Amino acid sequence: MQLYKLQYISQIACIIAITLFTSNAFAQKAEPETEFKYVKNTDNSRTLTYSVKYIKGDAKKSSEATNVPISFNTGIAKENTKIVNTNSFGIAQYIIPADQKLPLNNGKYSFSATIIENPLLESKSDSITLIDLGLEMKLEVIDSVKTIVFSTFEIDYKGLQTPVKADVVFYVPRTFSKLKVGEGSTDEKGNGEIEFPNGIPGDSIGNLTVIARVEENEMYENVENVQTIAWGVATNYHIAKFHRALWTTVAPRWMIITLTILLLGVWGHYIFVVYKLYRIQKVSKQIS
Amino acid sequence: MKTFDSKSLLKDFTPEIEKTSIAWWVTLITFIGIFLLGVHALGRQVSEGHIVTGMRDNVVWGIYIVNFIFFMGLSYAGALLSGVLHLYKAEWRKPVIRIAELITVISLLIGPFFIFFCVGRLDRLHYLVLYPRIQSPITWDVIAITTDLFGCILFLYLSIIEDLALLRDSLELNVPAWKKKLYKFLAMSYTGTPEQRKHLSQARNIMAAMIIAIAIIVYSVLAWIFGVTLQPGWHSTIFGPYFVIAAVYSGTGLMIIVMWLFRKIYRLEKYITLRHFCNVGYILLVIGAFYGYFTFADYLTKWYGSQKMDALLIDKLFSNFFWLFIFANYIGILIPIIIIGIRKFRTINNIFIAAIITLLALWVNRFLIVIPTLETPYLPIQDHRIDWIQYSSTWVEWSLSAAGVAVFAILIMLFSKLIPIISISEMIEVEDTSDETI
Repeated sequence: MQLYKLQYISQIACIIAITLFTSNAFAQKAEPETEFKYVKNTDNSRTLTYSVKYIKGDAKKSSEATNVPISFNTGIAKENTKIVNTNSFGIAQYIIPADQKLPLNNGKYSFSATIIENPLLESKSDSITLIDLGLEMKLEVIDSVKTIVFSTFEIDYKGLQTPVKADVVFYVPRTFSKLKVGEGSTDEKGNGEIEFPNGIPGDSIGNLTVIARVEENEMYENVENVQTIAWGVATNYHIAKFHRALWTTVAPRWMIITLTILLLGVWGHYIFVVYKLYRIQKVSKQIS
Repeated sequence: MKTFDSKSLLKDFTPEIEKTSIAWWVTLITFIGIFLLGVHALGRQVSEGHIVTGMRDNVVWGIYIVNFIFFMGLSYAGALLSGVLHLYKAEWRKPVIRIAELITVISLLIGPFFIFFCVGRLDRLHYLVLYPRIQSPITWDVIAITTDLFGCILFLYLSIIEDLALLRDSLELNVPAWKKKLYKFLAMSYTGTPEQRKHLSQARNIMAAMIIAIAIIVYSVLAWIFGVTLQPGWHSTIFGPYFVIAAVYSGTGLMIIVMWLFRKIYRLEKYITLRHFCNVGYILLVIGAFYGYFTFADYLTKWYGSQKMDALLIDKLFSNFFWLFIFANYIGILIPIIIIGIRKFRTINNIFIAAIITLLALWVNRFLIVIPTLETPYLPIQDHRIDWIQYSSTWVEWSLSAAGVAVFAILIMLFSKLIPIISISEMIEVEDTSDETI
């Protein structure tokens, strides 16, 4: 009898376990929306960025997928794999140091990003294949004209440089976005130059950050060169911030004076009326 | 021609304070029910957020702000009318002045709550006091409303001291002990000696003048919340005086409605006569004509200027909001003027109907000031969903609006159980005009 009961309980336990397992195993995962981006930086390091989004339930807009494990691969071998979790913006980023040797395949580098098995999203993989491009920039004053001199070249596995033609865009970062200040192309010799505009506000000593970028190129992807130079107009925001105005933290004097006079006038009369009430009460006390 | 004396007046008014009818309780419970529905709606709004209202990214102000402007307008009109009538010592004012004072204080207590309903983060409301910016019209409004509320309560209190003393000293008054104690405390030992009368009269004259000035300033400040904003239809120099005139217009309408209701409910035909309705009606007529002129001047200059966004806004008013626009700016002005202007139509009931039309038209007018402008921003609305583009109020907003009206009625009902709705002390030397015809 005891054995029969034990067998009965174990059967029920098995059914519950199987039900739970299967319901979990067949839970529908969301299809991810991904974007894979490569940027070669000024110091020759390379940034791989993978953004992951998905549609939550019946929502109309995509949401960022947070804490999803992403496997970045910089070659075919397993030792070239790095796993990074997405942050609260749904972005996983891996910076490949400049001195890291990368395997070449037919003169091209290959990078991939893969969503690893997880309970939220279906697996997905994206890859980029590119030729290594170098971008150099010199900021010079030629005949009193502020000039950006730039060059582009392919780099082979031995480090040899071959000049190539490419389009380059130039930016100066502002508070909310990057201001485009010019664009140009390099010639067959890989050289180009453009004039830098005058009158852009800089920091307190006129420093500006100039960014040269080869952008979303089919062969080279994104390559960037960033430099700082005192070509801007020196701007002291400290003084502008604290003068009396409608939009600063300190109100104009006329406004404070007007408001004070108005409030003192009105509340002064109120106090006088309350004093009159006090006199009414005092009169009756004197009578009694 | 006969005059009223304090004994006959007390005899006429004290039954309402002493006894409470079943009908009164039923009405009170009904209004409390409406108020509780509003509390439920507020609970939903706080727990689920503003998504339960019709307000979205562009139309960030809905009927809550319309109600806010409306109630504040009623309050300022009450203050202006009671202040002006008091200073001019118009004899006919005496039976109706307390109604104006009551409207002032009660509307001023209710109005600001509608601003709280608009605020997404009520937990940060105290920042307005902790980190005020003197440059902001919102800060001016907070200071102005607080100052106005204190002044209006003080003015109301000054006007009821004499009645409180009469009720305290009345031996025939059959009310609970707590009420007697309350009369004694609030009457401040006032016995009506010549010196006390002098102090009271001076205080009332000062406050009457003050509340006129404050009412104009405060309602102009409210108008500047819109006027100083770069939005189509709002950025207008006429907005300050236009709001003041509109406020007095709607407030006068409400005063006629409340007079009519109290006259019917408390059988005050002897005290509130056709003469009073006609006199308040004349104010309504003159203010209505001014309001019509201001409305015409405002829209004419906008239409003639043909600036892109102003033209777009006027097109919208004459298409999507056509009937509302016609009602607010044609029917709401012309019908009251015709009813009061032509002697044949000038009866108590007709003046009451004119007042209802005025009140409704002015609510719609405020709706047309707020909503179409917010639906016509300078930067195009970056959304395709219909409720993001066009405002549509929800049951939550209507419930809270109804709750506001219910609280107004509850407070008036409760006040009428404490103090006579007509000032006995003011009426003592007034001639009886109940047989008079106009």
